[in-house]
Formats: sequence, C-alpha cells, structure tokens
Amino acid sequence: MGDIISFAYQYADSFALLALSSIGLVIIFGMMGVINMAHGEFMMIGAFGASFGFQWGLPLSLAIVTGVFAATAIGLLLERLVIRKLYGRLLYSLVATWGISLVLSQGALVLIGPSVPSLPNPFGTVSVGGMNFSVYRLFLVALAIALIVTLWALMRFTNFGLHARATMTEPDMAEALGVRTTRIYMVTFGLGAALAGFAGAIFGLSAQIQPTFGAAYTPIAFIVVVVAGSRNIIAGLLASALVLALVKTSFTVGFNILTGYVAMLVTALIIIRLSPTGILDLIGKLKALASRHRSSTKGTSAEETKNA
Amino acid sequence: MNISRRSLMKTSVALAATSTALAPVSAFAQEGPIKVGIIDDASGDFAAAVIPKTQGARIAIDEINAAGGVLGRELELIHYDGQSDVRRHQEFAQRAILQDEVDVLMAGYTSSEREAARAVAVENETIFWHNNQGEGGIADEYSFFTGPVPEQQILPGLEYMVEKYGKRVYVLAADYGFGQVSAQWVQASAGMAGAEVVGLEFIPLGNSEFSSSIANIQNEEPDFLFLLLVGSAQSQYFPQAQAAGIAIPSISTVNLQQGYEHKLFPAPTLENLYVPVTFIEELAQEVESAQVFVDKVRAAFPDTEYVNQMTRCAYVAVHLMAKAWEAAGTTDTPAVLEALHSGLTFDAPEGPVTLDPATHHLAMDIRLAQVQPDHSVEFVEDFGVIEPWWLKEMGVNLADTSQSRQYLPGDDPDLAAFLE
Amino acid sequence: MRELLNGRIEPGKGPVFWIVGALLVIGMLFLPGLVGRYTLLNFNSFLLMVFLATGLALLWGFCGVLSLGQSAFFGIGGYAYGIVAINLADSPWASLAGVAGGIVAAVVFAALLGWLTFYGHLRGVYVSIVTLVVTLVIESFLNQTAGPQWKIGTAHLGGNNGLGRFSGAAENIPSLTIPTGGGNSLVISGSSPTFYYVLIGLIVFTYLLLRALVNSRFGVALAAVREDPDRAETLGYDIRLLQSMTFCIGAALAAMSGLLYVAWGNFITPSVFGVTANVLPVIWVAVAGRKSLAAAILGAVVLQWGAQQLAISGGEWALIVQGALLVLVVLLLPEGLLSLRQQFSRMRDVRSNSLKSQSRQG
Repeated sequence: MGDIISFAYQYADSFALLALSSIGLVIIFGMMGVINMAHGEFMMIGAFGASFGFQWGLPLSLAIVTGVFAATAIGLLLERLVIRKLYGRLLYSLVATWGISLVLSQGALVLIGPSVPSLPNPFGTVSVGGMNFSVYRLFLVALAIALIVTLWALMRFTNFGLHARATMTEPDMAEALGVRTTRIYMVTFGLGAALAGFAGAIFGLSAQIQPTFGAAYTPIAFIVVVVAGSRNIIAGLLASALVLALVKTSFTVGFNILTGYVAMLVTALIIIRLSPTGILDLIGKLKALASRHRSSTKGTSAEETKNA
Repeated sequence: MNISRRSLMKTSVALAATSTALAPVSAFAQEGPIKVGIIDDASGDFAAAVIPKTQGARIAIDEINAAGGVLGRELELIHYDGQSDVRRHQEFAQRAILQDEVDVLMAGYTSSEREAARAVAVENETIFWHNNQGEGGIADEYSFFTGPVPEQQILPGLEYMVEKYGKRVYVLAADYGFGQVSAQWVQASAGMAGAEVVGLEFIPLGNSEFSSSIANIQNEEPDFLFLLLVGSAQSQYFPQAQAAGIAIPSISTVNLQQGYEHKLFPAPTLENLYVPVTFIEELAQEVESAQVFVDKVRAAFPDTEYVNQMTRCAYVAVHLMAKAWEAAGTTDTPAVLEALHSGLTFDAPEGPVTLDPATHHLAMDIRLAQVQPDHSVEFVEDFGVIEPWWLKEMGVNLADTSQSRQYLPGDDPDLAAFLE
Repeated sequence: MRELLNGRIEPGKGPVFWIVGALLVIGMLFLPGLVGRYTLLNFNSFLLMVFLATGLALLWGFCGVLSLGQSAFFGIGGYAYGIVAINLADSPWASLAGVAGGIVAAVVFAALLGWLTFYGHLRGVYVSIVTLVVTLVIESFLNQTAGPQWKIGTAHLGGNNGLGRFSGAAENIPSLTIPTGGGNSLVISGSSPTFYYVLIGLIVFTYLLLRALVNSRFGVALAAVREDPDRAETLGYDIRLLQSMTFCIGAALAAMSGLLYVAWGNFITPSVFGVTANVLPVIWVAVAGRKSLAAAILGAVVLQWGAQQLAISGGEWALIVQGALLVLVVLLLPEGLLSLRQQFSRMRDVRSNSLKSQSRQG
C-alpha cells in the first residue's frame, strides 16, 4: 500500500511539473503555432521578479504577483517588437525566440548577477500512512489542476475565450466577423508569458534562482506542448502531461532517474511520429482503428495545420 | 649572489620611490613579467562559485608584487573567462600557452574543464595547477593540486559519521566522472569502517527533481546520507528534502566549500549538513590566520558573496609557485620542477601546508564543519594535518619517476575489495 | 559540367566570380608562412567548422528543412572517429578508418532519423523539434557514461570528462594520420600547415561538389520542395526521398566537421551535443545567408572569429551579442547579409534590362 501511495505521489508530482512548465507555452503554440524558445527565460523573469519583490518587503503572494507582472510586461514588449512581425513564418519565430532567450538569460547574468536571494518556502510537511510528504509538492499538483480548469473555463465561457477559439481555428473568418485578431494574438502571448512567469515564481520557492534557472524547463515544455498538439489545447495538455508523466514515473521507479527522462523523450518522439498533430489525434486514430474490424484503416493523416 | 641582488633591488626600489616625480622608473627587472595564466569561469553556470577563486589569485599576485615580485620580475595575471564551457577551456589553454607563453597555467572547476585545459598544458610541458577539491588520483609530471582529495575528506568524514550516527549510509552522487569516482571512495571507506551502503543513486547533471530519490531514502531509513551533488540544479535536493521532512544528518565533500549554498538557501534548509573542509570563510572564527585572510579578501573585494575554499586554493597555488621560482632562480620548467620537489611549505590561511614531492598534492589541515539551524557554521572536529598518502601507496613518486595517469579506487586492491 | 558549376541556383557566376575565388584560395595558401603556430591552430579550428555550416545551408537554405540537430551528427562523427581509432590503435590505418567510421555512422543515423521524420509526414517546425530532442537524448545519455563499464571495445566513453578519459591510462585519440608506406605514417597535428592545406583542399573540393549538386536537376528539385512541398509532390517529385537524401548529405558534412574537430584537438565531450552547440551554426548561416554555400563558408569563419574575440575581450557579452544578432537578422534581413548584395545586383540587372529595352525601342 505504501508503494502505491508513493507511486501516486511521484506521479502527481511529475504531472504537476510537466503541466505547470508548459501551460504558458501551450497557449502560445495553440494559438499561433509559435514555439517560444524563450519560454524558460519568461519563467526565470517570473522568479527573479518574485525575488526582488520579496526583497523590497512585499509579502510572498504579492512578490509572486510582481514576478508575473515582470514576465507579462517583457512578453508583451517582445510580442510587439519581434513576434508580431513573424506570424506565419514559424521557423523564423523559432530562431528569433532562440536569440531572445540568449539575450535574456545572459543579459540577466551580466546586469543582475549570477544569483539572487532565494524565496522562502512557507509550506511544511504532512504525514500520511507513516510517510512524510511535502505540502509544497502537493500544492503544485492542486495549482496545476486549478490552472487547467480556469483556463478551460476562460476558453469556454468568456467572450475572450470565444474569440480566441475562433481565431485559433479560422483566423480569416474570425477577422471577417469583426474579431480583432491582432489584439487576440497580443493578449494570448501576454497570457502565455504571465503563466510562464507564474510557474517560474512558484518553482522559485524551492530553487536557487539563477539566470539559467528556466533553461532546464524549456525542452520539457515544448515536448509536452508538441505532443499536446494544437487541436484542443486544454484537453491536449491534460492528455500529454498525464501520459508523459506516467511514462517518466514508471521508468524512474523501475530503473532510475535518467531512464525515466530518456523514456519520456522517446515516448514523445514516438507519439509525434505516429501523429504529428498531437496526442488527441493519436487517441482518435486508435479508437477508429479499434472500432473497425476488417477494413484497412490507414487513414490519411489529418491535415498538417502548422507548416513553415 | 642572491643577497647582493636583493640589496640592489631594494636600493632601486628606494630610488624609484624617491624619484617618481622625476621619471617613472620600473622597480622590476627588465626581463619582463612572469606570466600567470588563469582560466576561470566568470560567466555561465559555475560563475557564482568560481569568481571567488580568481579573487584569491589576484590577491596573491598583488601581495607578491607589492613585496617586490619574483626574481625581481613582476607577476602578470593573464585571465580568460572559461564561460563554464569545456571547449573554451581547451581553446584558451592553447592561446595562453602558445600565444601568451604563460609560465604557469591554473584552470578548471569541473573535472571536464580541468582535463580539457590540463591536456593542452601537459602536451606543451607547461606546469599546471588545479585549485579545488576533486576526485584525486592524478599523478602527472606537470600537474599540481592545492585542493583536498578523497583520502583527506571522504575517509575521515565518513568514519566520523559512522561513529556518531550509525552504520547505514545512503549515497547520492552526480552522474559523471567526479561523482562516480567519489562514490567509489565512499563505498570503499564504508567497507573499511564496517558500514553498509544501503543505497547508491547516480543523479544526472542538470536534474532538479528528487521526489523519487527522497521516496527511496524514506523507504531505506539510513543513519546518514553521503551527498556528492554538483551544480545548482542538483542543489535543489536540499529544499526538496527539507520540505519532505527528511531530518537525517548528511555529509558532503562538495557543498558549502564551493557554492556556499548556506548563503543562498534560507535557513534551516541545510541544517545538520557536515562538510570536511580545509578552509571556508567561517574558519575565521576559529583560526587567526584565516581571519587575516578573510579581511584581506573583503578589503580588496568588498562586494564578494563569499570567501570560499577555492579562494584559499588559488592563493596558495600562486604563493607556492612564487616560492618555487625563487628557489629555482629561473622560470625554466626543469629547474622549477626540481624546486617544486624540494618540499616547499607555506602558511595557508588554515595553517601551514606542505607540497608533497612524491604526489604533487598538499598535506593540509582538515576540519569538519557542521551547518547549524540558523546556517551558521560550527567546527565540530579537527582531523589535523592529513598527508595525501594514497598515491604514495600506489607506488607513485613523481620526484623520482615521471608518469602521467589517473589512478582510480579500483586500481587499489584494498579499496577494490569493497567495490561491487 | 560548365553549366553545373555556373548554374543558376548557387549565387555567384561568371568569370569575375571565378577569378576572385581562385585568387582568394591561392592567397590563403600563403597563410601558414605568415602566422605563428597558435594562430594557425586557432584558424584551423574555424575552418573545420565550415562543413557543418554548409551542411546546414544545404538543408535549410536549399531544401527548406531547418535541422536543429546538426550537432548530433557532428558529435556522432567525432565520437565514432575516436572510438574506431582507439580500438585500432596499433594499426597505421586507425585514423583513416576513424574518418570512414565517423561518416558512415552519421549517415546511417541520419537515414534512420530521416525515415522517422520525413516518412512520418513531419514538416516544418516538427522536424526541427524532433532533431533537437534527439540531440538532447544523446547528450543526456552520454553524460552519464562515466563509469568503467561504458566502453565500446577498448574505448571508454568517459561521460562528461570526454572520450577515452576515464580509465587509468588515458586512451589517446590520434590526430589525422596517413600511412605513407613502408611502415611510416604522416601525423598531421592540428597546428600544422599540413592540416591547414588539407582543410583548404577539402573545403574547395566540397564547395565545388555541392555547387554542382545544387545547380543540377537535384538542386532544382530541392528548390521545388523548399518552396512548396505539396505542389512538388503533385508534380511527381518524391519529396520524402529528396529530403532524406539531403538530410544524409547534411549529416555527412556535419560528421566531417566533427571528426576533423577531434583529429584537431584530440578531445571530445558530450557538450558538443548541447543546445548551444546547436544554435551556433544556425546563427552563422542565418546571418550570412542560408541560400548560398559560399556565404555559409564565410559566415562560419568570420562569426567564429568574432565570437572568440568577444569572449576574450568582453567575455560575458559574447552570447548576448550573438543572440541579438540572430534576432536582428531574422527581423531585418531574413535572407542574411548576402541578400544585401543580391538586392544590389538585382537592382543593377533591372536597370540594365530597362536600358537595353529602351535602346531596342529607340
């Protein structure tokens, strides 16, 4: 029984890490197909901002808000100056954001320094069944779920959500119907940056905050996001994080940390290979395959939505 | 000849001092400066830990120059930023040796950086110094080491922990050369102390998620932990372990003395961490010469984050080289090597050290530091001066026979008996 | 043949171009006599990266495939060279066998990866991501191969410390060594003029070969795939085969740089698979102009030199400047600096054409 609880805890922890790392990026990718290689640096800015806020005497929650502000501001600035000019030219935006990530991380090192004071971790420990668990890690799980639900509600029930979904699927039609797509893109990018900054500030509660802090999360985030696909970003993110976390945890517990990480990467490669448009389409294909007994079901792959 | 040369120099210095108004006369001999080549990471992942190292070298160079230099010549620092990048270390080692023609090279923080630079130095028969703790075992004609090695840190440290806390130890080690070799030393030391390694995990570099390791530790319930975690990502083990309520005492030969984690994480994250060190800033509380040293560093570099062990290592290295050059009377490598084999001693901040001719390592004072709940440090044990005896046991005598090889625990039958 | 060399796809043609080019190459041959050993060693390290750059230009500029994992092939080529050469340490053919091994290993791996991506109908951004993820996997794996059990034959992978650097006696990776008959061998060290001449020769040869390739019908097909893959497919081109083949050629070129790097410095670590190592060729090719092989060559050499100068003088600003350069180039000159010259010559052509038509009318 203890083993099951332990596994469940590690699985939830892994899921939370994957989900929180990528929730900012999935919005940006789902909306605009932009792979923001500076995503990790937005997380870093969030952590730095929170650290500064806390040093200036703000209570922890407001310090985190400071971090979110900082990330959002820089995100909007970059959207206006750089990203906006590269919509539709996705390889270029990938390359350009890579350049931005270099500038941001090395710039932080030069201008601010190799590290900033860390944030306090107000959470304690809780005992369940004779084992100790970190309340902080449990909080991350709750936060991940809360954010996903909030995002879903935002997309489903608000005007913004309606316009955003329209712009995602049929941008020209949406524009013709009066949706200001440029504004939607800007707000979406800002939202993505804000979520990244938030995740960074939260992760910063238990880490040494350095300029390279976010760089470790960027590859994980874009793997989760690419596997999630762009058809339905919320469901995709959920499915992607759940599946990849399961693989990672299983192989980590069974073997070791490195095997878990490599297994996760390989699984992602397999999923992308079988279904470039994301895991939801893969699930759909598998369902279709299962429900047809005889006829050959090598259906044409779904239209590639995001090309160079 | 020496005496008259010194008095000649003193007179010329006096003349220079009095005649500065007239014409700037160089107090140093006309042969040109002696070049000290240093490749340290001033940017990138390791900058925070390595910047203090360069400070130690600078202070030593300034001190020596203020006292008249070496052989009447000024010491010149030629510094390259390794950018925490292995390739840069190789590139700049080539540049320092082939273009700048440095008289000595001191480089590398991680073992990969060290090896990249050291290979170039050895190939070009340039004297090389490595100035931080490491996995030891390198016996090379041209390479010298000022940092503590496993027989000075791991062995006595582990013995202490076994005596105080019990025989069951769980090991977390960074998954690369240094971590692998150090882990072998832990296994061997444990075997010799009659302890049992109940778990050994290798953590990939750059990994910052420890929930699985923490779960394993909670399962095994060891008496103490031996930590060999390297880099800021791996240091996230500490807050995660604390948040998970791990109250098991731990010992590390990596943390505190280089990356001063106790200054970066809020108290009491690192509580009850034991670290065998030769020098850290807090030693100033106990030893007067350490206080003098810390004052010197902070006076020259008021903004420095911490005076770490590497500050002392670089400082000692420069001074030892200066002594060797003086003793040899020249910077020609063969004569300098002979001087380095003459049993040089120096008053390091923690106490006197001796450069052992056979092994090219230092006999130094080792003390055990314990981190308190408020992140202050107490020195709970003084192991005294420990010789770098292991390579001698392996039959190494570089004063007699030159060689170039890294010995591993597996090469020693006594240690190998305890390795899987 | 003349048509191939002087064709319409790779920029630069006509007698002026060829004469200037020839003069440049001849001028380069005098360099070893003029500079010191260190400068030559350093310059050689820039030159050997040229193949990596041209491979990326071929893939990205000519075929439209942005491979973000060229350093995977660079690293595979380098490691394979080292592993083969260490294992054959007693044979005079060790080094050359390593060269062959390096290229073969990279091409095989590229064929596999090409099958995975192109035959999986992956396009655009996804190809880039897959190639990047693959290098991450390789880097993670190699970083933890420090233990004594990780070896291929007699070559220890050495983990983070580098190939052949874990065990007691360092396994030396040989420099480029060519048996000259009668039991003798010519050892070409990284700082020797011979190495330099070998590089120059290889660069010229590779450039001419690739130039002929892109100017041929194969190159036209590549251009079609780059511009509009679907249309190219309806016109009957086997786009997946074309992409895979180009991918393999690009891999072979990257591996060439990799094994030359190892032969130059006798040293290689998993950091060559890292994210930074991947972005550097992208910067060179993007800034110089990805649609020209000559531009890629020049860009690689000049930008490496520039980055090193920055690292020496203003160390910490080096990466910031490179990142900013990348962003500016993408925004303002997406075709690279070369496009400035092309625009200029196009303007000149337009003007001379209009003059011609005027004179015909008049």
